[in-house]
Amino acid sequence: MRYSMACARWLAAPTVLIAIAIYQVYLVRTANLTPWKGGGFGMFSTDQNGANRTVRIYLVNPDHGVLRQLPVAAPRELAAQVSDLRQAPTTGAARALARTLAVLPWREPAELEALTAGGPTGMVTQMMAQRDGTASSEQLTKLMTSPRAWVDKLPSTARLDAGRPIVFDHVVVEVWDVRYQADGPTLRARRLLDAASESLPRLAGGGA
Amino acid sequence: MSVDVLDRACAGGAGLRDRARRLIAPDSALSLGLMLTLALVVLYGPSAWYVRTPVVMAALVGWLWPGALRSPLLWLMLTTILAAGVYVQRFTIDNHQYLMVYWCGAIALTIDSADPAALKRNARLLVGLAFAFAAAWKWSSPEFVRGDFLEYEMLCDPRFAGFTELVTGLSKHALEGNRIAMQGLTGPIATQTVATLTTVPAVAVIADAMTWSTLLLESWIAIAFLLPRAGVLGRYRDVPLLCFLLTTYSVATVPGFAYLLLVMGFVQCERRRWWIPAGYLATVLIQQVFLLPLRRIAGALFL
Repeated sequence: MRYSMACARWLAAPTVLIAIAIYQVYLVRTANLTPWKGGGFGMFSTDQNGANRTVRIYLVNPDHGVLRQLPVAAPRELAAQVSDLRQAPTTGAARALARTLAVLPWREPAELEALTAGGPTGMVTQMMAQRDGTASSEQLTKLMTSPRAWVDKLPSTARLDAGRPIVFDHVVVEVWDVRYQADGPTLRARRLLDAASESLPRLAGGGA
Repeated sequence: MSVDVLDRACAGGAGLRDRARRLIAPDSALSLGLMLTLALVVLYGPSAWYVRTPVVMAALVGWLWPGALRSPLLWLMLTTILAAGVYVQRFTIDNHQYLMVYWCGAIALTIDSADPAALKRNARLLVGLAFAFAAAWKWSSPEFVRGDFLEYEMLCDPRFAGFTELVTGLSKHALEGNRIAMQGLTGPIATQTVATLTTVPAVAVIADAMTWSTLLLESWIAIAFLLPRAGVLGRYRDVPLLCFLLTTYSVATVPGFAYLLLVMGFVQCERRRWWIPAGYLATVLIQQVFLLPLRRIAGALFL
């Protein structure tokens, strides 16, 4: 009895290591977990690494039969969720992120409307006028220094003004994987999975 | 008290070599290994505040409170805190954080054991198993065996940039261009799907050499640490581990992993050949040198 207790004590840590490493292999095979993570010691063995994966997010809006996709970056407050999705992407986790992002109050620069009001020609005319000093460059400067889209009322976006609500129908989240090909050599991105939130027309614009 | 053992080891008017011998003698080596482990968890444990604060407090108790260093309770507490930190970030945290939990757990379970070799055996098995899984992943990864993975690392990983520039002659600008191409595919609002990289023929040659030396060295370490000490491989197991630590981590600097392997290597090694434990201790210091911005320092001194 004393001998078996002593054995159990000195074998416990190596046994836990083996159990977790085998479970990690299972997760890599079944749940897209990168071999680099999860306690399986697969780091520096493959380019299937979380750093080589990217989460692409689109605010989607149907416009006269065409689906317009606005690529956006997730707010910093959701960095942990995005990072988990990169390391172990599942459709369920991607959908959960899409749902979270869909109910957030997305904003874009209010100046965008004024600047784009006259279409491409109007925009060029305005830019030329600003360059020549016959019109104020404030709008353009603000537009250039603001992100294309952000989520209102978050600590990470507190420096930005209220902007104007972005109208969208649903959010699509895609996870992409970048792989190295020695021929070339090239880097090639392929979509691992994607998921969409439900259509949320009532909440579009973040309750605006 | 354990610190007394170290004080006695370093006291007296004997020469440096004699003091080093006393420091690595079995009675002081265990205390030294435990104190190095406390430094390890403080320096390289999970950085989240809910882990760091209690870990620092526990480590201070271990260093300052008489007898605490060899208390299973202290090590059990550290294991629990570290395990909780790893669990919260289980899909994003590095593998050496898992290994750190196993190591602290092994200390907690064996520190008051009647068998003085129990902790040494744990250290040997943990190193052997970590390398066995690492080697198995590499052997089973086609892109690693082909040499493509290390070629990619040399071209795109900023940790390899200085090394690649030095040994292949690929310019700094080309390497920066490769990293920008990578960011074009992985940035938060990336839309591209293909990017071409710049390389030179030497990259593939050196990547192949590194691939095979890594495969052989990691497999050698795994076998040597998992085999009984009786054979030649087992008797000289510390040699490949020290080689690995001095070569691999000079290029791919992962100080937490290197430090942890050094501590476990130091605890498990034989004391008959004094240069082996002394080698581990010296490598602990050398690892810190690898972290210096050597290229910038050399540039400032010679240009």
